[in-house]
Amino acid sequence: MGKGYKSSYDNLDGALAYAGWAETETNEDTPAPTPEPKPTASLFGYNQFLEDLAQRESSGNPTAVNQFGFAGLYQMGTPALVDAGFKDNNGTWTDLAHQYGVYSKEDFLNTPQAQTEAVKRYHKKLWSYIKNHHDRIGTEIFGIKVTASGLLAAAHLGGSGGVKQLFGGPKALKENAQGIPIDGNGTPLTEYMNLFGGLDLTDLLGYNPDEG
Amino acid sequence: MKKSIFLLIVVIALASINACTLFCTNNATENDTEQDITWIDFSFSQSKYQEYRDVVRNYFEEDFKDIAEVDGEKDVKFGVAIEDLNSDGQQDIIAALAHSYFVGARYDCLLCIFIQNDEAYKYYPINQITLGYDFENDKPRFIEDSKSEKLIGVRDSKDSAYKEFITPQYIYTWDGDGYAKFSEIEVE
Repeated sequence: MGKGYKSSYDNLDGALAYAGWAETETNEDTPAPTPEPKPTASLFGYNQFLEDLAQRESSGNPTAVNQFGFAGLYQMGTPALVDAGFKDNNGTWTDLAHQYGVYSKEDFLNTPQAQTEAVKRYHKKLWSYIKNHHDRIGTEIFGIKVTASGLLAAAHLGGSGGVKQLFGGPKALKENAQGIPIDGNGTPLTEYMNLFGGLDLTDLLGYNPDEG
Repeated sequence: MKKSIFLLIVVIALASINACTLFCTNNATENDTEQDITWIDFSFSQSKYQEYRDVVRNYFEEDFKDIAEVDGEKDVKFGVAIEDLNSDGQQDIIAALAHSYFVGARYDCLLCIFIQNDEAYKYYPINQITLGYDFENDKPRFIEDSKSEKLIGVRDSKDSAYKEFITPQYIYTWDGDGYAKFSEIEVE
């Protein structure tokens, strides 16, 4: 996987800048201070996770919407937006969404920073749902090393129930011939676990679960 | 060289047959299924289908506990319907769980069934499905409106005793060991 590649989609960069995760622009008239070496978290951290995810889900296009209404950089559906606090159980945009200027799906599509905030909140919720599997970090499953970002990505794809099933819990999703839970389109959860694995989630969680 | 040309012709012929099969299937779906489809009317009432709801609740007991630990929800809302899916005279359970715990970020609902065999039920996932969006009213389509919105339906199968499932995106058929995607439904 191309970890560390430069983002080629400006809107996502804008969203990340809004959220305070991208480099701050400097005034060209002022001599730039000697740059501090970036911590690993910035290079291979949650920022990278989101870039990779956006590229995978929408080719990095914040206005992408499919015929079923899955919208934006991360193609979030209604249940995920409810978990993020951006929609209520009736599917109505909440006050939190309004704070980001989102009153409609169109607003949401045109506000990448709202999309990034929503997915961040959703991921925090996911991380709580899968807390019983945090102790799997560092182990292997179906030949894939389990990392925090891999776990999160698997839950993003298959839900927390899918992750539970992956580790021997009750069957919720269909499984492929190898017994790996697959999402509604047939993608094995381990594929996301592998693709998005090994990224530092400190920027999301405030600590790096991979460091124990 | 001749061998390569022969192989190319075989591949093209097979691809054409496959494409034709899919096209014909989709046409059949659009033309002659509307009157044959029973659109599922899920119930969310705690008092209706209580014994069937208990089957679902018991199966997902651990998951519901996980959700409650994070959300504090006493009972996860889910829809239940009953239907004799395999023509054995016994009612089977169709359940739809629209909670993100079960669907991840990219789907609307986990659709699953419990096939009754004497007194026992066996779980089969249809899998995560998309219900769609009402763009005009800027509202998601809910399983609560499944019947009126014609979101999820069943119809008799020509090849199996098990009924087929119709969802907004795919048709699912029984493959002997569960339901599998049969074909994609074209959306205008």
